[in-house]
Amino acid sequence: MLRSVILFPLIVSIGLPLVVHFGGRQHGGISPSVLPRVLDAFSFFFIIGAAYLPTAIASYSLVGEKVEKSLEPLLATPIKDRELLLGKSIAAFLPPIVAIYIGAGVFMALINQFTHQTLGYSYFPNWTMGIILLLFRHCRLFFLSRLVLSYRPEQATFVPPSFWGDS
Amino acid sequence: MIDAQNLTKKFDEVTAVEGLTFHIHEGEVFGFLGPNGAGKTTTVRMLCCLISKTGGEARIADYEVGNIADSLKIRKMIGLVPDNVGLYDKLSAYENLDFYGKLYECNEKSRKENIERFLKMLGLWEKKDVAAGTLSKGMKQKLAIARALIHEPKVLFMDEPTANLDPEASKAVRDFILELKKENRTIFLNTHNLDEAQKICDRIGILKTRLLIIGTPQQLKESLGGVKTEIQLVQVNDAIVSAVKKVTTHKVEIDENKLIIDVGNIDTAIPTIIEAIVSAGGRIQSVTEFTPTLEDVYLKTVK
Repeated sequence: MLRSVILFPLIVSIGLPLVVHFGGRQHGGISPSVLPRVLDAFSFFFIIGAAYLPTAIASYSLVGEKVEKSLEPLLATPIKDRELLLGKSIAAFLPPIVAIYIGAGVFMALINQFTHQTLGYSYFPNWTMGIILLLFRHCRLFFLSRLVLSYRPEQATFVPPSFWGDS
Repeated sequence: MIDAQNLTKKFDEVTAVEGLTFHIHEGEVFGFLGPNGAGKTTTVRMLCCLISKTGGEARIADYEVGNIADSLKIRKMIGLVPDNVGLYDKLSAYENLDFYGKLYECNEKSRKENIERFLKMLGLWEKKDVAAGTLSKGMKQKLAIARALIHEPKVLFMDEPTANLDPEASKAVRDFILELKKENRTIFLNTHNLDEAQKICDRIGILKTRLLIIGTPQQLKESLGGVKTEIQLVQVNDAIVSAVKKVTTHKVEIDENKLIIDVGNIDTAIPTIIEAIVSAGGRIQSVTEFTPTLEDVYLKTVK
């Protein structure tokens, strides 16, 4: 899971700018009229990451403890249910979101570097990216529901496979 | 220290534990014996406030099991060694204990002292920085015991602590339990191992959904009538049994080609019995005096 948290933003933040930089080189690069739409489309990968990574971690967080047989000794401690859920939610939400934000920063910097000559201006930051980054806050509700479902495994219908098969 | 009155647990239509009533004194090592599915682990889970009870009452010290306000207080004063150790494999032995020490709200100083103390007592100090997942089964079990003791609980619940351990590791764990007994901790021990129960426990309860019998190991053995004499014959028939019953009022049991008689005084009662057997045509292979073992008690009780 840690590999997924690091690799996914890394691939998106560096890989996609490289695609923009080297894409269409044979035909003189991506046309300035098309490039903004391509960049906006690539930006939405960050929503996918922000939705997928915390959800994957949250879904497995308590079910995983049960699978690893570590839930029973954990619950035998004087930890309150809300403390446990809060701790799990912070652990599931913060690392991926920090990685996504750092990745978004790297992505925007590289895109500006590679596309400034073509466009004549720095494309990022813009409102599209601003909305995307603000949307992450609202993903909390979705992944919190996955955390609660992880707490009640008989209701969990799907635990997304982690990136690169990490557990 | 631990009081249960008519404790019951049902899972839908299945009754896992029914009408459990017992009292465990402070400083006592109490053993729970029973076949698989008898309700031993379910009982431990109820007392540790991990699952709710269906009926009855239980108290640990002054706190009521099942009362939400008391459950946190109960969990602060108990330690649990579950049947599956459930360590965090990627954390080191020291980190596992440190994590749990924080969950038990131990201050830093006592946490560090206890970690060092228990790791040294259990022979794990040299392995303190090794990932828990790489430890052997016996070491993991010892680490689980250290985890349960990190906050110095008054009551320790141990669910089959020596299951799947080799004889050396089992002995090490048993010896450690005896050391804990000297510290006046109350220990509730689930086990399949009759020898272990006999060596460690002050009292034993045999459970099969209901508590069938409870007492010290000696009391349990005496419940089967004390010392007995076993007479192995080539063949037992009705004539031999009738002849024996004519000369003795003691209880006579037949087990294949053996007569088991509730009398231990070979010098007085047995010669008369042997004479009766020979007169009835019986051919004796051996005469042995024995005391019923805990295994005899267990097998007879759970049948």
